[in-house]
Amino acid sequence: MTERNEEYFKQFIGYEFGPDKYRVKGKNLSAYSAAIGDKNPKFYVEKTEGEEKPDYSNIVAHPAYAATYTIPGLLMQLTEVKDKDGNKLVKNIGKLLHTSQEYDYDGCDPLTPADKKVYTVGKIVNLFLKKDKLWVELLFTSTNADKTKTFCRTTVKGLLRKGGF
Amino acid sequence: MVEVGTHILKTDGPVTREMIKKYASASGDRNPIHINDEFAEKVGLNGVIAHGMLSFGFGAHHLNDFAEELNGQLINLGCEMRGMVRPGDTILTHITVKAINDNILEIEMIQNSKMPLKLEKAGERIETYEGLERGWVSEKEQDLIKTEETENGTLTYREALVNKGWAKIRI
Repeated sequence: MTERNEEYFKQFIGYEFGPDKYRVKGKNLSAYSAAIGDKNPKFYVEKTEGEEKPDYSNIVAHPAYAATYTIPGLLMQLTEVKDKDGNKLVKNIGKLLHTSQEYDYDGCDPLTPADKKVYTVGKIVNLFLKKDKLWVELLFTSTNADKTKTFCRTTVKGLLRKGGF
Repeated sequence: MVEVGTHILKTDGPVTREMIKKYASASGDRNPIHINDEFAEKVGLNGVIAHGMLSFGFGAHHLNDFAEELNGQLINLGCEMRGMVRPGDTILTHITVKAINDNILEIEMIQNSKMPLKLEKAGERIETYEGLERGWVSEKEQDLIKTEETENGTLTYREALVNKGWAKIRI
């Protein structure tokens, strides 16, 4: 088996994976905003007593909402990244520690319930060994199905502890 | 009028297990380390921890409010996660304008968690909080323990960095 050294891991830089599909629902956008304490009517619909179905059609996703449609699904897809011999990059996802994320919305479209689905693709931007850990930088791009709208570009950094790679 | 050095402090919490469960449900992140004390103890966490993205979400809320007050738009936000938030903690979000380049404000966002430990009045302990009962303050955090006078007595708490963040607002 090939030694898993710095040189070995370089082959994964530029590797693309996904897409991960995420279903957008107005009530979820609203519930998320409420969960972080933001009841701005741009993001949140107050449910009134006796109302059958609140109208969520006029809200947009909160800027923090990208946490739901990018990070969990794509980090799981990272477990399917393989080298040319079919060996998995990630041996134990439980050893992954998510250390930072950045959402870039410049030039992006707001995500609304009418968009229905978000498609996110991931790319390994950087990968290096330091202090017995494998440091990973990933770029996720979230769009609609035909890529005419971009909702967010997310950079996620993390590390895999010993036994995870 | 916004200028370099403009600073805002916002407070959220105390974080409750109910708030953590609501975030778990709304975000889809139902990792048991956040919602099941028994499981969290088994994996060595000595009780549940809040999602890092919950405290970051509080910060995103305040950043967006700040952008809207300026009739601006939040175009970038991020953070490095540096510490854990426990039930009972209050999150203090410091938002500071670090630079203004053309029409872009560059923001620093520092989030600290304030964990109550005990409340004393006239030398008598009148309340002991979960943080002290369960030993959530580590050895290396002992120098982060402080006291303050409140209307109910002297509060002993630990304040620690949880998120070091940044943002850009276009105005």
